[in-house]
This record gives sequence, C-alpha cells and structure tokens, in this order.
Amino acid sequence: MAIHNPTAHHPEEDYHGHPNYFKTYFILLTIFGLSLAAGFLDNMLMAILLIFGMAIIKMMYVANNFMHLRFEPVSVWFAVIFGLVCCFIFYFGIYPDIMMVPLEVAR
Amino acid sequence: MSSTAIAQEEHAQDTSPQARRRVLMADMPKGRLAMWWLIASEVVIFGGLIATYIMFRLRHPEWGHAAAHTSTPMGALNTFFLLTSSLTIVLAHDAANRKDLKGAVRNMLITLGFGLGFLVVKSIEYSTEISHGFTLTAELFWSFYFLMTGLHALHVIAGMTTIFIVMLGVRKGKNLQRVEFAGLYWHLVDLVWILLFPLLYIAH
Repeated sequence: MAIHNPTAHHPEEDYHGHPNYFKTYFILLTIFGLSLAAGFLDNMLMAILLIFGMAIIKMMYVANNFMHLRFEPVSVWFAVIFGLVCCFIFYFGIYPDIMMVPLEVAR
Repeated sequence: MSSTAIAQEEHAQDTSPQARRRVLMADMPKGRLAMWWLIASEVVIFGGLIATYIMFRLRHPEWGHAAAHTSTPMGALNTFFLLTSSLTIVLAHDAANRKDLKGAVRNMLITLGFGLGFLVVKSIEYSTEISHGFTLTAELFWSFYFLMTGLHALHVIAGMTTIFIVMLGVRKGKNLQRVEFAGLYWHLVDLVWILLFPLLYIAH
C-alpha cells in the first residue's frame, strides 16, 4: 500500500487548480482605475481612505489569486503576518522619536 | 500498518481545498517554502521602510508639495506594466504546469518585456526629477523617494534576472517548478509597487 511521503515533491500532485486569472486581472485594473479617480476627490480624508483601502484590496487579490496564498497552509499566512507584526512593533517603537520631537528640531 | 501510516494515507486521499489548508509547512515543496520565507523577510524590509515613511509624512504635511512633483501618469503606467506582468508570469506558471514549454517561455518573455518597460519609465522619471534639482539630498522626501523606488527597482532587476535564468532551463524542459518560484518573487515586486504608488504618487 502506497504511503504518502510529505517530503517528496510531486508537482502534478501538488497542483491545486487555479482561479480565473483574466477575471482577476480585469478586477485589478478596475480597482486601479478607481483609485486613480479617487485622487481627484475634494475630501482629502475620504480620498486617502479610498486610495489606501483599494491598494490593500489589490494586494489581497494578487496574493490570493496570483500567488495562490489562499491554497497555502495556514502556517504560511502566519509567516507573512509575523513580518507585518514586526513592522508594527518597529512603527510604535520609533514613534516617539519622530512624532514627539519639536518640528524646529525635526526639520 | 501503524496508525501514523494510516493517518498519512487518509490525508493523501483527502485532496479537498480544506484538507490542503490543514497541512503544515513541512508538507510544502521546499522551493516554494523557501520563497515564502524570503517573501516574509522582504515584508519586514519594505514594511519597515514604508512604516518610517508614513510616520515622517504624517509629521511633515509640507512634503505634499514635494510629492506633487512626482509624475502620476508615469507611476500609473508603471503600475499597469507590473499588474500586467503579474498576469503573464502566472500564465507562464500555468503553462509550465501543463508542460506547455512554448507557452511558458512566451509568457516569461512578455513578463521580461514589461519589466524592462518599467525600468525604462523609471529611468525617464529619475532623469527628469534630477534635472529639476530633485536629487537624493534635496529634501528628506526625495531621500525616501529615491531609496524606496531605487530598492524596488533593484528587486525588479533581480526578478528579471531570475526569470531569465529560469526561462533558459524551461526552454530545455528542465526545472519547470521553478517558474512558480520565480513568479512568486515577481508578484512580491508587484505587491510592493501597489503600495508605493499611492504613497509617493497619488497622496499629495
């Protein structure tokens, strides 16, 4: 009886099917067009929220559908999220050094 | 048969997407696993840089005037190039899975073409900005701009070199699985640009 060997790489077994790449691409282009249009909004806060919101949606689309992240083991997500957590720690670690220095000194 | 062997066999028979999500990193092909670790480390590098930029940008609203001098149409063109190249490299991966060598090589060549287009546009941008006096030392905004886009451009060059080397093997039918690994790296380059574009070009 054949036993699955998890360390062996068999590309044909590993293949998990894929999303519709062209559909993903056109969705990405549409979001890209919308984010460019959002740059012309008069309300700055709304424009920034929309632009960066759409950038994050685009990143998720690329990661999930082109990089196939949604088919990867959950532990891969943890590896990537760990990197982001490191960035947050870094951000708040240096926050006082940049944000709390008087502007005359900062310039 | 031991209980472990039975469990492994049951796992092998369960090929549903849910079953794939349950498996650990140890079950992944080593090359892909290495690429994901590389991507995680790149997230820290670019994430740290972008986080620092955001903090400085919030502290210095006057940087908006400097940011207004970056060329949004050129940045948008480069975004289009990278988004399209992401499609072509994933099509190359798909072709490699189907053992369609010609299709894989063709799509990798198109990807290289878009990468080259990106670098040409970036060079035009740099020369225009430098000729207007916006150099690396002109203001802190331009230091960040050249550092982030320059580091990204280096990654584009590294990605293109990798894709070219992998393509040489694929032409001979060798190491087809590497198309996916090179593609993962190329998508990372795209992901970073997706965030850099609004930060440096749109958010004036």
